[in-house]
Amino acid sequence: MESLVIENLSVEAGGRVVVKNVSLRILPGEIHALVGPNGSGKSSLAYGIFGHPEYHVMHGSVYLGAIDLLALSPEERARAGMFLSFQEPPEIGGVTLKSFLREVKDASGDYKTVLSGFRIDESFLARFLNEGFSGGEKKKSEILQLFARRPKFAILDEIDTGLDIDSLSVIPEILRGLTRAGTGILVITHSTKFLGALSPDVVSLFSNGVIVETGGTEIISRLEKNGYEKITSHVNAK
Amino acid sequence: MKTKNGITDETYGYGFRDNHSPVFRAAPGISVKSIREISGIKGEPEWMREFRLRAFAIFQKKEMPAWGADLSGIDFQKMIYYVKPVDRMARSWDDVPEEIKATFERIGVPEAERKFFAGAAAQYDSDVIYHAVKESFSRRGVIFTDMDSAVKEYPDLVKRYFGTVIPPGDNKFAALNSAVWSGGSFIYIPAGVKLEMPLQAYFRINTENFGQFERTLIIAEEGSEVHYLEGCTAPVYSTDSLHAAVVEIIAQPHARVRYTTVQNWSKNVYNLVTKRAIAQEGAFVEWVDCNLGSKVTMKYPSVILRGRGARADTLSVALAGPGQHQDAGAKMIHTAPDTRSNVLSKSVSFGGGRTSYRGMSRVVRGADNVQMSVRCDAMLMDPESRSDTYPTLKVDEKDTRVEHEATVSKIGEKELFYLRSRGLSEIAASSLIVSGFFEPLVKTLPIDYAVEMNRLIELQMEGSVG
Amino acid sequence: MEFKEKTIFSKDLPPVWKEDITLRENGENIRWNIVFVGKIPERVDLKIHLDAPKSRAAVSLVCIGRETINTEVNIAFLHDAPDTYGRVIAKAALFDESRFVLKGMLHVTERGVRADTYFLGKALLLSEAARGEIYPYLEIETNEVKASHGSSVGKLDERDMFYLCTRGIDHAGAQAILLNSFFRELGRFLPDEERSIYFQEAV
Repeated sequence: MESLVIENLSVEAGGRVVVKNVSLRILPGEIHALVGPNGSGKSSLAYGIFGHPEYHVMHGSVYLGAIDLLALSPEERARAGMFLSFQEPPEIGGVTLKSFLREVKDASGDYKTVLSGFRIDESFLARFLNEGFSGGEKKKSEILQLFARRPKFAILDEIDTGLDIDSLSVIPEILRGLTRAGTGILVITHSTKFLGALSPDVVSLFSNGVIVETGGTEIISRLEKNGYEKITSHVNAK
Repeated sequence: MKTKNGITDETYGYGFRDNHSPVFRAAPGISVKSIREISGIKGEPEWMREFRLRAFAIFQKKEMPAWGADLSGIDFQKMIYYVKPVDRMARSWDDVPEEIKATFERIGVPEAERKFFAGAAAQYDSDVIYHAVKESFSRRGVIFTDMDSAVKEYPDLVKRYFGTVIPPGDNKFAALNSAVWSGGSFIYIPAGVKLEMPLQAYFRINTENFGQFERTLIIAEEGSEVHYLEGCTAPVYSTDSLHAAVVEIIAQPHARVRYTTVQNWSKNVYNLVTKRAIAQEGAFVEWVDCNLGSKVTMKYPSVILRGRGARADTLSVALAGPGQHQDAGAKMIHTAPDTRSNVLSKSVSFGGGRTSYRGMSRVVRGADNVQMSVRCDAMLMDPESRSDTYPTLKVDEKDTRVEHEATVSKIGEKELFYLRSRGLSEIAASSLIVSGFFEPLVKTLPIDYAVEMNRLIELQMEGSVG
Repeated sequence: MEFKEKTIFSKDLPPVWKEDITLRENGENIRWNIVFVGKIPERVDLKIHLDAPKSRAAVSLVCIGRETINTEVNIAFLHDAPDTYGRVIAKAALFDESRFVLKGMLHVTERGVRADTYFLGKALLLSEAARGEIYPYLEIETNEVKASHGSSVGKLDERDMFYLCTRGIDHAGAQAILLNSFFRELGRFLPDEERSIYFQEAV
């Protein structure tokens, strides 16, 4: 079974090094949480892995099984089995969500569970892609696309922000449905509450562009008790 | 015998008390002879005299602009092109128009300052202020002096940069200025020096201030920072009806220059200004331009973004009342990659006044990853007034994003009603809304300017409502 | 709000196309959809005088510039009567070495009170040698008016392209979707041959 292996990755953006020598491994069907304060570089890691035009990989490697992802264009990475859910998806008018989902759908893709889980109406699908969507609606659009593509590995950047309480409560179940089918997910967030509900298999603590610690859910409980500063500075001081 | 501001009777009265004192005033009209005369009186070096004469030849050949405001009222041969500094200040307070005197009263300009702005005072306490800052400047290698002195004291520096941003051939009025310029500021900031406090023309006030043909040159070396402020909100009375100034700015790599002008010439003046800056790599130039007075103003501050990563912002505000035409705008020319510029222009016309925005947004081939935005908003207070917008977007490079938006509207009825329901008179409410409309510019001004500005707007509005 | 609608194709136009139209009857209105594809005039001068109260004019222009086409389009609306309405929406997608110059003028005289007028001009540069120039002018002589314009010249947003690529869409496909987004409702005027360049909403 192929894993997603990130080794010694450093990424620079706008003249600054935003990700420093990060190594991570995600197994199929696993939920790996990447948690850290705002501005720590979590999104930068996601953008670097996917080849965003404004982020440049300085060194390191990203392999999906035997495939060297960094040698591919963004759409080739997607077709190799990767998916990236954006923190702030852009608005693209003129194409309906429904048409778009049909366009990007993988053969095995199926987003029915998302429609029922979030209780999404047909009329939502008739709207233009992300246009005029609230924060929560944009996240739902991302999740619909995630299920339509059924990737091997998905990176979800702050999927929880903007969602209302009811939708939030449904997400862990929806995502577990995906992992049971074999998808490995890297969940990027700064919300310990969301993590608690998600119950990830692995937790990596991220601060200032580096992974400070990798472990289990005990990291979450420590964060909830002490907040970010104490933990990261304590670790940095080691 | 000293008056209460320390200005002696003699200086105060010079030129109008004593009719026998010699007063130098050039004969009307402009000619090679008169230019040589002016240069001689100033004691200028040969190279500057030659520069003037070459510029005069260009002036004679050049056509008047075929676009813009109506300049038919200018008669080049009727004007006087040079009055010796002290003499121009020798005007009788009695000659100053009533409305100007009244404005000073309303805005709260102190007595002695009023006489200065009306041109009737020689040196107003400026020496005192200037000497204080002069000390700290010379220690840091900062040069801040008038242009006439700079030509003689720093010839190498001046020669290297004078006329390089705006050559005499640029337009007819730049040519005129190049031939007959007098006064203006010369500022040189050495590398790495960042001036915390704005330099004001006011500091080095001498009688050359508010001259007809001021020439200003600012050189900001690598990594330096300076904010220069000229003009004032108080209306400046001038018998000279043509003002053609030139301002050149050179911002070396990573330098930061902000140039703020608040113009409120009396309503008989044609104010035609050429202002341009060159921004080198990583530099940041800001033009803050406020046009309140004059009969006609034609002014389009521009920046040539010549170095990679350079940035420029222009903030322009214009108020045109009865009989006024403010034809202003901004030019941004991107010749280097990764550059950014923003223009925000706000104008208000009332009582038949006219504002025009004229802008140029240009991206040259090879200047990739450029982003430019222009926003111009115009408010028309009444049916008699007029607003025009003439922007141009010229893009020769694919990797660009240029955006432009403009709106013209009348003052918001809903907002007016809201304010009046809280007890404000129609005038107070209108001026509050106009002040709010101009806020992006007003907030960049030093505090005392800002206070005067708002009071001035209220005064102007009084003329428009009812 | 019924417009007398006409769709005009560039292939049917002469190299220099001039039209000077005056709306003289109360409430008279016109809507023209101009499609510039293939053979395109070198110069267009379209002037519409809204001389009658409540008259309305709407002009849309969609242009696909290819090869070495070089065109200058002048559209002027003169609002000279009360309660008039004007809309100009012009969008050009420029490939190869094409060059597009758009000059718009919205002029509202003192008699044009309560005019509601808007100009939108956008040029999308899709190749290294394409060039666009837009001159959106406004001359407004009365304050009782709603007048504005917007214009932009640029290329496709790289971040939008990246977003689409992360969903497995290749460069050409992403460009097609973004072109569709660019043209919006004006896309329906494009003839079938050009439809391939942009994403089709499945019926």
